[in-house]
Amino acid sequence: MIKKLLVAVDGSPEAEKAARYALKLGRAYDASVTALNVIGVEPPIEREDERKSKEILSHIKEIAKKAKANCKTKSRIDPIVHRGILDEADEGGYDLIIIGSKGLTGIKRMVMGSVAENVARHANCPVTVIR
Amino acid sequence: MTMKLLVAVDGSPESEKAARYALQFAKDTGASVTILTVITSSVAREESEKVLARIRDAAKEIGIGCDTRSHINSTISRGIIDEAEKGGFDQIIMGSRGLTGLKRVLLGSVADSVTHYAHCPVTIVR
Repeated sequence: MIKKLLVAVDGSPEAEKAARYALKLGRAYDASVTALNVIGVEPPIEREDERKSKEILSHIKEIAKKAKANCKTKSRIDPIVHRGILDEADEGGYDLIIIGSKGLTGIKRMVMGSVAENVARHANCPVTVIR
Repeated sequence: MTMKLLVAVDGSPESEKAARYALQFAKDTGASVTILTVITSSVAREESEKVLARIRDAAKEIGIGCDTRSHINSTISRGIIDEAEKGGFDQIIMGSRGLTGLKRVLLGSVADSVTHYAHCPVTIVR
C-alpha cells in the first residue's frame, strides 16, 4: 500500500506534471502527498530564495486545490538538490518519490536531468520519473 | 486511474519485486498489467517462459490477471522501450538492477537506459 508520496518540485513544467500525477495517485490510494522544493543554495539563504520557493509551493497548492486534493508542502535547504530530496524521503519514511525527468536547469537536448538521475540511482524507495 | 502498465522482468529478485509491486499497484488502482521479458536470442525462450510462469503465479496469488509477452531484441533496453511505445503503455515498472547487476552498481544499465529514453513515466523499484 502506498501511504506517503513525496513529489519533488522546482517550478519547471515537468515538475508540475509530476505533481499532477502525484495528486492523482494520492487520490487513488487515499495517500498523503507532500510537495518538496529543495532550495539548492549554500546557507545562509537570501530572502529572495525563500520567496521563490514559497511561490513554487503555493502554485502546487493551487493546483491541488483546483483538483480538490490535499497536498502538504515543504521547503528544504541543501546545496546538493538530489541529496535534499533523498534525505527528506528517508527521514519522512515515504513509500514513493515522484520526480520530473528534467528540472529547471535541464538543457532541452538532455533527456534526463542530473537531479532525477541521482534520485533514481540512490533512493531507498521506489522512484517514478515523469516526462 | 486506468493505466496500462508494462513490467520488465528478467528473473532477478529485484525484477520479481518490481512485478509484485506493479501487480499490487494495478489491483489497488484498477490498472492493467503486461509482463515483458526481452531476450537476446530464441535460445533463452525456455528460461523466459519459466520466469513468466512464476510471475503469473504471483499474479494469481495477489488476485489479479496479467498479460505476458516475450520479445527478441539484441539490446534489452531498446526492446523494453519499443514495446512501451508500440503497446501504448502509460508507465514502465522495473527493478533497479537486473541479473547482470553488480551489487555495488546502484542502478543497472538497463534501468538507467530505460529511465533516460522511455516516452512515458518509469518507476524503479528496489
